[in-house]
Amino acid sequence: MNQALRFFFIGMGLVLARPRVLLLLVLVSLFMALPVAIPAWMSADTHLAHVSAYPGDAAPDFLHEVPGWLLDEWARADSNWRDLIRNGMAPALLLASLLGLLFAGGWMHSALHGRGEHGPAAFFRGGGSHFFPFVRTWLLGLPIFFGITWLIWSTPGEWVMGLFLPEGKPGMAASETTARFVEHGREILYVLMLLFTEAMLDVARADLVARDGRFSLWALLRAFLIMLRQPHVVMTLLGAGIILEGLWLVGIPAMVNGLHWPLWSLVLLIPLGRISMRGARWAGLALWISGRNHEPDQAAEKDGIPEVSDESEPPIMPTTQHGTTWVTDSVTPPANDTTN
Amino acid sequence: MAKRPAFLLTLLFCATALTGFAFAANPQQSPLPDLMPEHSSAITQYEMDIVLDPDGHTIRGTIHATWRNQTEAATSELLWHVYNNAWRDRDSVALVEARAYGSNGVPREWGDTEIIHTKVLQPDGSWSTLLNTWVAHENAPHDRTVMRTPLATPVAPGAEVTIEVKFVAVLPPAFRRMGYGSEGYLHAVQWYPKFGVFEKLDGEMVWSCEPYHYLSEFYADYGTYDVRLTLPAHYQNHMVSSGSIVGEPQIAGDQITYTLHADDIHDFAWTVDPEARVIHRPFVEKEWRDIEEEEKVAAALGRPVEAVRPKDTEMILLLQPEHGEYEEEYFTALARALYYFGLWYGTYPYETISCVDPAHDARATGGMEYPRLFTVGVRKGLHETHLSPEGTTVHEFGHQFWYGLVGNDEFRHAFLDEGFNTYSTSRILHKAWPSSRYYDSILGHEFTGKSPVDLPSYGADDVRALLTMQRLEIPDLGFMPALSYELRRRTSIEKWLAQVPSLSFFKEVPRSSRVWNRSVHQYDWAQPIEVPTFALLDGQLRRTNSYNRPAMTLFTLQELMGETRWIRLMRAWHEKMRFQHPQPSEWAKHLAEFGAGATVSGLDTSGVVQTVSFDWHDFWQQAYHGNDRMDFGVARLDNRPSVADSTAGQGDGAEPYEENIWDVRIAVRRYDGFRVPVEIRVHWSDDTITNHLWAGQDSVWKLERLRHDTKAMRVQVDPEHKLMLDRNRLNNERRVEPDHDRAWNYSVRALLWAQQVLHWYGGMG
Repeated sequence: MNQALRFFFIGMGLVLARPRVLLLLVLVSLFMALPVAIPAWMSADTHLAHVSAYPGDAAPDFLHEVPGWLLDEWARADSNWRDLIRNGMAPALLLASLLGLLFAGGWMHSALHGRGEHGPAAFFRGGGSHFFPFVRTWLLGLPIFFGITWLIWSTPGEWVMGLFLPEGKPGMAASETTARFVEHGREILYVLMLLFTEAMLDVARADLVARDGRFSLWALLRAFLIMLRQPHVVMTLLGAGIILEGLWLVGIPAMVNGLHWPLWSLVLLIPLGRISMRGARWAGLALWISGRNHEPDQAAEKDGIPEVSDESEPPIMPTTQHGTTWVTDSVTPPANDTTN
Repeated sequence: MAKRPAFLLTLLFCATALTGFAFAANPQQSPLPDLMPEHSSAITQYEMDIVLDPDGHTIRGTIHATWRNQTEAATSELLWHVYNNAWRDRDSVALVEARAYGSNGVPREWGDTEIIHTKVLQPDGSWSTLLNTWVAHENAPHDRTVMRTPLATPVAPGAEVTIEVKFVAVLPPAFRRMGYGSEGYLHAVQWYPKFGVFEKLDGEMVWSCEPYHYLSEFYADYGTYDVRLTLPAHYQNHMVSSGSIVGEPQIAGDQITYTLHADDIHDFAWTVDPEARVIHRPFVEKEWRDIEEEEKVAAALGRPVEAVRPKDTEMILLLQPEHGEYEEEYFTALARALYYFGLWYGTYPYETISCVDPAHDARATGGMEYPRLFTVGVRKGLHETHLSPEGTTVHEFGHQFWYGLVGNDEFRHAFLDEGFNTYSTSRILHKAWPSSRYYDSILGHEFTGKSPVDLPSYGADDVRALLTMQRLEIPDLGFMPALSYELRRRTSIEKWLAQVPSLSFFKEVPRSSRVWNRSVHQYDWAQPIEVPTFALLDGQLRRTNSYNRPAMTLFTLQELMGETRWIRLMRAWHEKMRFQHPQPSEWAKHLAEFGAGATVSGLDTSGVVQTVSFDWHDFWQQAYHGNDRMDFGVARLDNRPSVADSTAGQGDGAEPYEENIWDVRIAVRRYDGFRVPVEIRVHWSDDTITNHLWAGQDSVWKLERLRHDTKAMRVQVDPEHKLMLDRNRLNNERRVEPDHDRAWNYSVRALLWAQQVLHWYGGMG
């Protein structure tokens, strides 16, 4: 099996070995979504519970049948609940980002330092121990995002657009096909750069956990070099999780429909799968980075990467020492998979 | 158990008799006289010799324009529209008004029309030069879109005057309805000096010749056009126009000359594009027949079916090659529009109708109407059920009837074309196509679906944008200036990834084209429809008052008046007004004339049948001159156990209520000022239904049934949704047993959606 995939599946096993953590995170996802669901429910119950469909008396169930006119009427009759959601979503999204950092730390820490501890307390303790360095990576990521946004959508991007389109404006292209091609190419490039950055931030965090480090900037620089040298490993590892997550998003609704399970079953099953896949990605990444760091980094020395470790503990080998155990005993984590 | 057999019998009789609530009077049976004129009175006649320069947007022309004074007053001046001068600088009325409305756009290059000379034809056949002046507008003294030509000899009633105008018009790059594209596309409209309309306004004979306003369109007299149009030769077979091509085009060197002719139109437009395909296809009426609709119309008009069928004509489509996928949609929409408009209002009288799909860089010329030619426009990647280009095609074609054949003053009374046409468009789309859907898109590719909650987006100056990592917004802190940086741009891909539409969206949410008109209920109707279009508060109010609000008024009238009466009324209006300039007062008169005798019937609160005559004058006063909104709603639905003995239960522990006997109390309110008769339907627990009529004049309607052996389970106001003007339909119904499952289902969907979005953010940053 591809080494990167092997790390992913090891991570998956590690995640699945922590059902209580998973259940708790699913409940968190439910709880976090309530600021949206509750105003929607309250307003819908006030405004939709009495109305018939038109024409005729058939009652739309808002599950299979959703008449647009009724949604329009509702939007006009009560905009407050949408305002409530709008106001509530902003802090919820920020909180989700911060919790995401906590959970990432939790999974990475579990993979490297907490193999024998399967409970939520250890998970959150591990996540908490890396939370602030992770927040720093998050803050360091913001100027990178700004830089990419500026690059693609501001002066440089406009200049490039000007090479393909009159005055760089899609609306002035003689051909709609050309305009769309350029516009969409720009959007795809932008998203790819963002995803590359996200992946790099994940690598930086994995590096912080692997070294038990605190210095986010160095971790980010190391992550950048890792992304340059071994993007295929990182992308395979992360991509496997994303692909499986996509399959889950397609398969589970189909299964729920086929079995005529109620809609709310998705509310439990979808997060369960998505959280597991994401946890597996993070855990697998941490394992790979740890194994990679444990080997003498000849390439890094060659490139003149500064030695960092007066503030970090020696890297931890993903072996059975330090109390860690592999979920699948037959799998021995590769120390370095640069040969892939 | 109390018995009231007499009452119940009455109730049962009435319930049976009035289940099909009669909201219409008996239709008039006599045949509707054919009022349709064959031709206009041809007040103007234009003979034009036009040359398009090789640059593709400079037009040199000489016009011999004849104006016949068909009024009873003489005039010693002529007024002309020279609308291309709206783009000569920032001082035009159009651009001054645009800035006032917050739109700062200007053409990329200026255009203008220079009048080289103006001469009048003398009785002896000679030409004498005239001096023109530009008519200043109070808000734009340097505007040059209206030209005055003083005459030495007044034009007496019945007389005519012929003027020669030599001009050079430089059209701008595509901007607000007209102009050129980069690959040779040119949409030539408002390109020549055109007479205003000499008519009576406010009791006085004047030239109605408004400058080019930002918020209004055009107005001119009917006439005849003979145009010699000389183009660079590469435009051969790539030209459509408001006229018919006469004879074979003449090719001389690198030029080609078309001879064009048109009768009974009030403007002349043409479009050329060497890259576009020009496709001709016949409209054959029998291929599009709707037998049921034909018979209904024929019966209502008292005419044979053959007499109401539209005539065949030729459809011409100027289509961009990259929009080839939409060719069938264009032709189908045009054919259906030709059919239904012809069937309902009278046949389309011209030999051709041309539809223009503008070049991509000239989309600003799309969605506009001219006699015998209109523009549409479409984007690639639309979902197959998306009614584009169909909706715009039907609408812009519809202007051939409302604006083209019935030539109202669009400056002042745009509702007479836009409102009537929006109404007609909605009817056709509703009748001939399945409902459109809610759509979303990724990378320009559409899919059906409706998010249960809108993904919140926070713009500049909103600190919440930082919470979502979209923008860094820091206000001016005194020691540090304000900062505003875009951190992440939310693209269609990211929106898709965050929301996972295939999972969290409602899949198919139909949107009726009729009900779409109600979208303007969310806005403030700050001014009544009677306010002249160019004087409206803003662009939104123009849309409201010219398009949707009058369309909803017409839908409401149609339902109140009954189908037969309405078919006659609309047909007669079009026939009477074909090639005329109708005024709102004439419409009001027509409405009263054809609505006379219409009544509605229903039970009153005592269960007795009552009949109410409509006061159409009052209705129109409210709808046109007034500004009250309409809103009826159920205010109360109570079923309380009836007290058996009002003295019982004093300390003896006896239950004072009688089993299964109810005191039923229903109240319906008129929450807004618009008064109109309204139907109220009550569903009882024994499955009977009673239909009641409320004249709607008071603020409250009450129904009390004391000691009744059935409960009222459901009350509906306007159950058939006849009153399109009713601003809130959610309060039109109340049930004893509301369906709470809907709220549960919706909120679970919203929760599922929120989980996906939050999950996305949980892995971001």
